[in-house]
Amino acid sequence: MIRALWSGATGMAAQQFHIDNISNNLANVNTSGFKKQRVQFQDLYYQNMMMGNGSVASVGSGVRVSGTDRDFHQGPLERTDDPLSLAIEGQGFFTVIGPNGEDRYTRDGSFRLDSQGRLVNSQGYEVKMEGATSIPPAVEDLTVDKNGMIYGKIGGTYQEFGKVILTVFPNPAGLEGVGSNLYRESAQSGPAVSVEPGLEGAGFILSGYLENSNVEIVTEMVNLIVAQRAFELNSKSVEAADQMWAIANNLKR
Amino acid sequence: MIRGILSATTAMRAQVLNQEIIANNLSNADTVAYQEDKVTFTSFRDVLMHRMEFRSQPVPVGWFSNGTVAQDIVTSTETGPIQNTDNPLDIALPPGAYLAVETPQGTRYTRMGDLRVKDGYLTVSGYTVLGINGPIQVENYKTCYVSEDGTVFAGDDEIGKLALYSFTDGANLRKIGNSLFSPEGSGGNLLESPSLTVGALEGSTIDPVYEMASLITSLRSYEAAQKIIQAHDETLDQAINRVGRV
Repeated sequence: MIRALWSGATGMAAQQFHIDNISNNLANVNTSGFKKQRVQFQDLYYQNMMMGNGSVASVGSGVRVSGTDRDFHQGPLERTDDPLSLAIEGQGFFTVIGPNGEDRYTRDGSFRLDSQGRLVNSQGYEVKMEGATSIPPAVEDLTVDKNGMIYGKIGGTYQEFGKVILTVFPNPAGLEGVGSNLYRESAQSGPAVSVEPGLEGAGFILSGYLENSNVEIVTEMVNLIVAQRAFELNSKSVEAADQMWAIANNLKR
Repeated sequence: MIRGILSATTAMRAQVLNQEIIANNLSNADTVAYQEDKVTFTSFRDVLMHRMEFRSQPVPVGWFSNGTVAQDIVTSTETGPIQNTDNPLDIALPPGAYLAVETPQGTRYTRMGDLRVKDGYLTVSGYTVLGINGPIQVENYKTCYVSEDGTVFAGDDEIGKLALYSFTDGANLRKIGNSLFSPEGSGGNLLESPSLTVGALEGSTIDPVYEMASLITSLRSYEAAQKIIQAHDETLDQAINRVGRV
């Protein structure tokens, strides 16, 4: 009885986590560069029991959340007309120099210039580039080509201001999300490899576009229904176990 | 009289086990490739009852069983619904096929198909997948994908082939948790030309309607057994406290 109660409880807890995750996905349906997460479940340990025919059978003890998996599918591209809005068509990540000088990786390419003419992301972290030079405020006709090279016109002549480089990982699904659309390298993701746009599957850069969230509302809503019903189902098994316990207690009147 | 109470007690105990199995099934309603368990019951072995006669041989009165007992827990070998994920490393295995994985305890089998690259190897839920030629190593970064015949590619290079096993009798596999199965007796037979569904995962085989119906049946059987014990209790009460009272 106790086992049935706890199995039901593990199911409710797991579905609660599932709903939390779906809510987070849905909350980020408009977050640039957001990648949705999926929860994975596994059954818990099995206890061996002697059966009537002398054989040994196993009784399970519920479910657990075994992990979350980030889905790095390309999100839809949205036109912004700002030349410093960059999107990646491929598997690569932009690299920014985060707090304490540590590298952080992001798919959110909503960049701008700071007071010193550096390319920074929306939090003000500098974007890693090759041969970066300060971009003066007087620049006109700023463009970024598909290889990440930034051009601009100063005093009638075009000038190069450096090249945005991308990073690829052996296993991007293993990256650790640190919030604010940023990821950190982890043992699971494998070491970061800096590459030029277009190489190693990193993908080319599109200027004037932002990659939108890859959350699909319909899928999430269906998952929400499944999770909610599964939660309800488990509450029924808890309820049934409780009733059975009450019946046992009422044996002696 | 006491025999009746004991029989009803075995029924209650059996339904507790049934309830535990159902609760475990329900809690795994959303677990990838979970296969439902069912418990089968059998009556206790029949015993021949005798009536004792004064100064003569006992007279047989007939066969009698002393209640019920769980006979076995059977794991379903049905296939769950296939859910599309579009992930090139998610595979749904053909019915009755298992992937072999390396665990600290030895080779174990699983029907989970969410393959991932971890520490340079192809893994499923953290365990290294054993391909035809052992673990499948994924060296440099390239997009990994699996073809329908189980060949694993990294970019354009073939880096290995998944090995799928079948078991002649499903009862040869025992669940050990973490969606793994432990082989009992001989190992599996390698499938010659498997065909996988790529970009999809197999859902849990749980049928909520069936499980809820079982839950109700189990609960009511339990309740009925309780009533039998109470009825016996009342009869005993009559026999002890009322019979012989003037």
